[in-house]
Amino acid sequence: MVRRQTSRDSKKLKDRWKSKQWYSIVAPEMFNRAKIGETLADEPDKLLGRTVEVTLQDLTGDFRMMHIKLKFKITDHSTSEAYTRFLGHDLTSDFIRRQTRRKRTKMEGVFDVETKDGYKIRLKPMAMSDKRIQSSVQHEIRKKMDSIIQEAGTSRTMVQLTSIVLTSDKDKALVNKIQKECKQIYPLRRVDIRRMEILVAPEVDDSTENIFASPVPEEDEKVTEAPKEEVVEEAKKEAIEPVPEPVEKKE
Amino acid sequence: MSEKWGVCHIYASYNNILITLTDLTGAETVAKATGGMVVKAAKDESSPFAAMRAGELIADRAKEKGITNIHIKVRAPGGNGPSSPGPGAQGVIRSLSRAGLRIGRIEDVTPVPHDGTKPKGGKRGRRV
Repeated sequence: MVRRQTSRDSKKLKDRWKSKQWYSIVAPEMFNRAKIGETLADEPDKLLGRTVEVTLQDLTGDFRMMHIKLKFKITDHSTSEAYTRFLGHDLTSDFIRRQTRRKRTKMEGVFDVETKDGYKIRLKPMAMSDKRIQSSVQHEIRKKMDSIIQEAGTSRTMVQLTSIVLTSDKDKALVNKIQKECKQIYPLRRVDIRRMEILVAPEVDDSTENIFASPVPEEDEKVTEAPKEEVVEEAKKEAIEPVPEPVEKKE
Repeated sequence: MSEKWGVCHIYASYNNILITLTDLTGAETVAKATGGMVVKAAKDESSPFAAMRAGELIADRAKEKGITNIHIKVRAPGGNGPSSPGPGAQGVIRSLSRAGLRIGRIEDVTPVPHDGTKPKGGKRGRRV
């Protein structure tokens, strides 16, 4: 009986499927407007609010970034494209499980940062030690991580902060800084930013929207992103500057 | 882009197996199949054989609709229930790849409680 129903449904569905249109999902400016994938809808307004997950490997081509998942939310659309906003990142659960072992301490923390351009961002670092360590040392390390993240976050814009969180470049990466500075307290085996969430974003004005809509000449995503993001950042700063007061929007 | 990606959500419990193929956002369903659709006996709903047949159904429907590549998200009941996928999960993946769909990432998305409710069975466990 179940079978009969599905075959009837599929006939009806097929027509509806044909009437749906494909939209390619475009990453925001800070990710060089890379094409993330495609989605389909019968009415374009139904696209709004959908979220896509993509690994950083797909965007940069760097297979060491396989375990980092980026999340994007569709906020706007044109006739054939859907534009997205960066929501944050996450690590795959199997990667985290691989890190956690017996007789080692995992220290986690949840820190909220407000960036220079008014974004409220929640960062969740995860530090692994070689041996089991005392809770007083753990508290010290957690405190240190908090202060480093606060300092890094408040002195940077959202895009800059994202780039140092996601980069594989050792000199710039936030995790390397944490690891280096926490070494004085206790040597850490590995530090990761386990999760990043953009909690509150300042309202985007029309000029930024225009930057999103205009085509960007350089499309090669194979190159590492760090230098390009800085260029983008400057453009974005100019766009955001003329707004008198950033109106905050709760998600 | 000619190659269209989809996401195959596989929910493999010990009693049944549910497969849903969606687009990348998970908002549009492409195809659905369950273990119960392909076998008669309730005890076989979660078997690897049912999983393979259900996977074939999904693959047919996917090709019809032009989806050639898929990411896979496997999950077990999770929560306070079993956190390892049932016997059918592997069968689905095998049949999907044998049917000619290209497989991207395979990920485990079993919900893990940060300590939740008490599992059923009472204090002294299930007494059979």
